[in-house]
Amino acid sequence: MLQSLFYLGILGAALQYFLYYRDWASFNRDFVLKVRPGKCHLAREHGGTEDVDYVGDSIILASAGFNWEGDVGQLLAFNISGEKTQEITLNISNSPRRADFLGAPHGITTWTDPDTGEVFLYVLTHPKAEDRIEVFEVQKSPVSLRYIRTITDPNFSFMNDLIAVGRDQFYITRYNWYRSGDWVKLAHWLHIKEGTIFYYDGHRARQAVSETYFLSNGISVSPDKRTVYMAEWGKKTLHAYRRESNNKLKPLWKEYLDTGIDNINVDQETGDLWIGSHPVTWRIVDFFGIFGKHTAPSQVLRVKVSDGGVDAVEEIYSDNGEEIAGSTAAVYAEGKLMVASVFEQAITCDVEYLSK
Amino acid sequence: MLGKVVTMVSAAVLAKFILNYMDWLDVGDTFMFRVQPGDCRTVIHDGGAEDVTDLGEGLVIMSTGLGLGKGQGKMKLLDVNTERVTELEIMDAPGRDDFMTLPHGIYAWKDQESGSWLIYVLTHPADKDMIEVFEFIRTKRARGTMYSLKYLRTITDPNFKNMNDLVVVGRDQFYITKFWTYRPVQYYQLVVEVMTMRHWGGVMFYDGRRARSVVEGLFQPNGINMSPDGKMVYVAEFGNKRLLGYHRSINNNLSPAWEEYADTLVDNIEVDADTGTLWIGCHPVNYRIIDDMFGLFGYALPSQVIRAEMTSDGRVAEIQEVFADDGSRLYGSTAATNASGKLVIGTVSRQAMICDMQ
Repeated sequence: MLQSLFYLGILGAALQYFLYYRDWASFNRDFVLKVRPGKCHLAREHGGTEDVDYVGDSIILASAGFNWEGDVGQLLAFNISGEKTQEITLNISNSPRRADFLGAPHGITTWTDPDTGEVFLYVLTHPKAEDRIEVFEVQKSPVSLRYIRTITDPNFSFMNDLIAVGRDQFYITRYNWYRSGDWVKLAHWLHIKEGTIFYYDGHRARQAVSETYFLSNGISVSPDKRTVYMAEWGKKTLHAYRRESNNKLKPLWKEYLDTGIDNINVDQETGDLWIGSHPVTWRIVDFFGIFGKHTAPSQVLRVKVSDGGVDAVEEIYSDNGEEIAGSTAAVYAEGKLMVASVFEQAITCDVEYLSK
Repeated sequence: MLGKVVTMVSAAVLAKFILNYMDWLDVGDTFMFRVQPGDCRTVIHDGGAEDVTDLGEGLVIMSTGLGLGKGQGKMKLLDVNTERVTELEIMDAPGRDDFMTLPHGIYAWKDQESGSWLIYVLTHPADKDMIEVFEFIRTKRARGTMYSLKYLRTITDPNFKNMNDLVVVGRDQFYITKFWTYRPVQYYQLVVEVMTMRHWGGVMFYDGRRARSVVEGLFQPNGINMSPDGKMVYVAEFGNKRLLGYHRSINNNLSPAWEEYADTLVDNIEVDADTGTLWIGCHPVNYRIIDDMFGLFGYALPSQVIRAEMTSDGRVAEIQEVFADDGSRLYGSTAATNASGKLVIGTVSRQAMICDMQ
């Protein structure tokens, strides 16, 4: 009798996990409705731009050519002022002579010195040897980069995104413990909490939270630099933290959003979070091609926040993958929305209306 | 050995059926993101507006009171320029106390010869449905134009039970959808009919004297409308979450042209007279609208409006979501129309909303 109950309990738990996993993977879903904020056009057709950042004067910087092998990618700039967005390959002066410089560029962040106005760009890269953050000074007219230094740390296994809060000071998300491409790809299905957040103080990195996460992905900060936001893609949950005086992060609130949130860009004027996301999980994490040929759909959310938490979540853009596949990031600037994807297109849309 | 295989296969088939059923119910859908085309304002706060239709010149006529009791349905008029809603007085109304009970689908038909508008309103008095026919009257007064409805006649047919919406193709000639077979008072039979997904609905054609069936075997056909040239008839097959297109033949029969899955419970369809674009009010989370039908737990009803752009030969070119809400601002959308460039959205029994569209 007791044994039967025990087996029934195990069966029940297995069934419940099966249903949870099926829902997480969105296996029952293959339909995505279109949503458009206005007319959209192609800014980049192939190659991907995993992360984008707006630096003012109609310029958006981007990391391009993310891949699993550590092959060299590029850094790009886009000018969104005209009717058609212009893509500019960035001239990099003073770059180191390493053959693996800018291998698999991933998350990026910029920081402007409030006194001098100098703009610095930090790019997370994954050359085969180790994760490296390359630091550049940004010139805007004409737009170019000058390499300054490389930041590494023994804590940097396979990281994902970073947000600068001072000169060479940033919060960075760890994605996986192991750097092997095959492990990272497989880990998307394993639901192991390998992720966490570190703070780099200019010299070394130390863990900023005691929690661990499943695929901690995008990270950003509020305009007043007091609140840090993190997108835990694996759990489809948005986290907010209060920054403490010692730069540790105290969990403030979290909100389940039921979609695969990736990178976050915070509008410096309104504090709105612009999030690139993957609405149908199985179509973006099918790295091994088990489910045959298909494209990943795209989505952009605008999250309005206040101290108490999320006030509203708006869907500004949505596509089944024909116009843009696998959106990872979005940035809203000068009345336009630029949507970026990890492997394929980048598009710019006019935003006809934004609620207050 | 064979017994074990049969058991396993049966278990797998049963499991698949249960999963498909749960998916049909939208059991996993917890989140509704907001989508809106511009600033939105509530113009009706209670009583709803189950069906809305644009008369042009900024006037939208609406049937209200589907959730209320006997004889309490009202026809209202929204002026999109002033955003004021007024109740349309009915002249020469018949003395029945069940007149205008639970008004449902409506259609505004323009008589090309006389230039007058006839308004057909489907209502549900106790045991059979009645279509009330009105003339839309404009009376010019010193202080402006006054609008009212003049009752003309009532159309009934022994077949008219549980109808939902209609599209008028000529004077007193229309296609009308039959939603389900059991009446709401036959509660348990209705629960079984819906929950076992009986395809017992269809489309009938009323030729001026009597109704005949032109389409059968549909699962809760809801809204019905027509392309501006009258060649295609569109049906919102609510239960199967899809739009159906039919070719209209000379004798008013319908033949299937296409099916378009919309992944949401499509309710009423309005068609732009100039572009032929479809505007469809929808219920995005199935179990919640079913819960509302059977009065169970009182879940909040989210709202959604989708827009289908059509090709010149009456096929769906593109579907886009133009409005979505989790129910906190708009509760249970059923119909939407593009009136003079503004989006007007009606609900079962609560609000009606108007949104700017850029």
